[in-house]
Amino acid sequence: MPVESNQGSEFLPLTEATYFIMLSLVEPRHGYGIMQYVRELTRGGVRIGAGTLYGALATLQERNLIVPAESPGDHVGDGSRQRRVYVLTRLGRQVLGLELERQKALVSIGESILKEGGDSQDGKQKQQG
Amino acid sequence: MESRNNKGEPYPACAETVKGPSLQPRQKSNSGKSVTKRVFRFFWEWQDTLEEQWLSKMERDGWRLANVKGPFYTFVEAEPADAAYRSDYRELNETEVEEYFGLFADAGWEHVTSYSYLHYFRCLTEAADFPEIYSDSDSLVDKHRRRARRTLFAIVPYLPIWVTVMSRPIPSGKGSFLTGLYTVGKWGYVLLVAMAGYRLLRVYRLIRSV
Repeated sequence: MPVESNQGSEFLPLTEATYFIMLSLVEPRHGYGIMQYVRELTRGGVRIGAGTLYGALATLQERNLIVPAESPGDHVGDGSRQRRVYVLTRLGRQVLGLELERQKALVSIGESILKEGGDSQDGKQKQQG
Repeated sequence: MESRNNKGEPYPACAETVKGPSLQPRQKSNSGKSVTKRVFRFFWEWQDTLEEQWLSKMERDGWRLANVKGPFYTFVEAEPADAAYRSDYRELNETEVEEYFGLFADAGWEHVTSYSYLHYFRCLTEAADFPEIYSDSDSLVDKHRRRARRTLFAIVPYLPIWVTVMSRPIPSGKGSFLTGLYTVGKWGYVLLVAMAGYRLLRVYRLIRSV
């Protein structure tokens, strides 16, 4: 079934945490893997708390943007505990793409304004000089 | 220096708490039996930060949290330590329990105890580079909303009783047991609703300040 191009736009905008969690799940990862990956990606700039992460994973599953992955999660320590592995769904990928487009549009608007502002300030300085 | 687990991966936060020895209550060596203390203290749902700070203070004073049963807190005498406490509100079913507590353990939080849907976590602040369980305001607000919803639902089951009481004439007979019961039923629910309203207002104000 083909995915409509604007399907999933109701989930936008994504919070920063959700954005990074979804980015992490382009490949299958468990919760601990997500925490580490996000920390790596942002060089420690973005930290996701355990409560925030758990809530986001639950919500994303509810909305069918991520699903538990087929591959078994890795065992912790003595193997008594298994970590659940998640991966992005097709709809999830679509939403991530839409979010990226949204952010790009925001950035380009911001850049065009700041560039103009910067130019006019340069102009003033030139006039003064 | 960053702590690492047995696989050589760095712990994300609060690392010391997940290492073996500190998981056990540190008992005073001169006596074999651990000394416990039971304290009654009531916190409203909008006072969770106050409660967390109080638990930290207790541990600095040498009393480490062991158990919570509503407003009854049990502490074990332990070596004073700088620890952060966080309480989370989450209604979990059996299939979610392992994943939920697993995530907190992975993030370096030690699960101390749970009472109903309230879960208490602890980590040593010296090891914590990020001692928060909620990293953005949206998810923190969600926690307060979940708890407030419960406050609201607590008054609903009494509604049929109240309607029944209100729809019938008060039985005559001065000072009879039934008359007393009807009066209590009539005003008890009104009081319950007023109380819930006040609690929701306080939580709403807290959410506004997040």
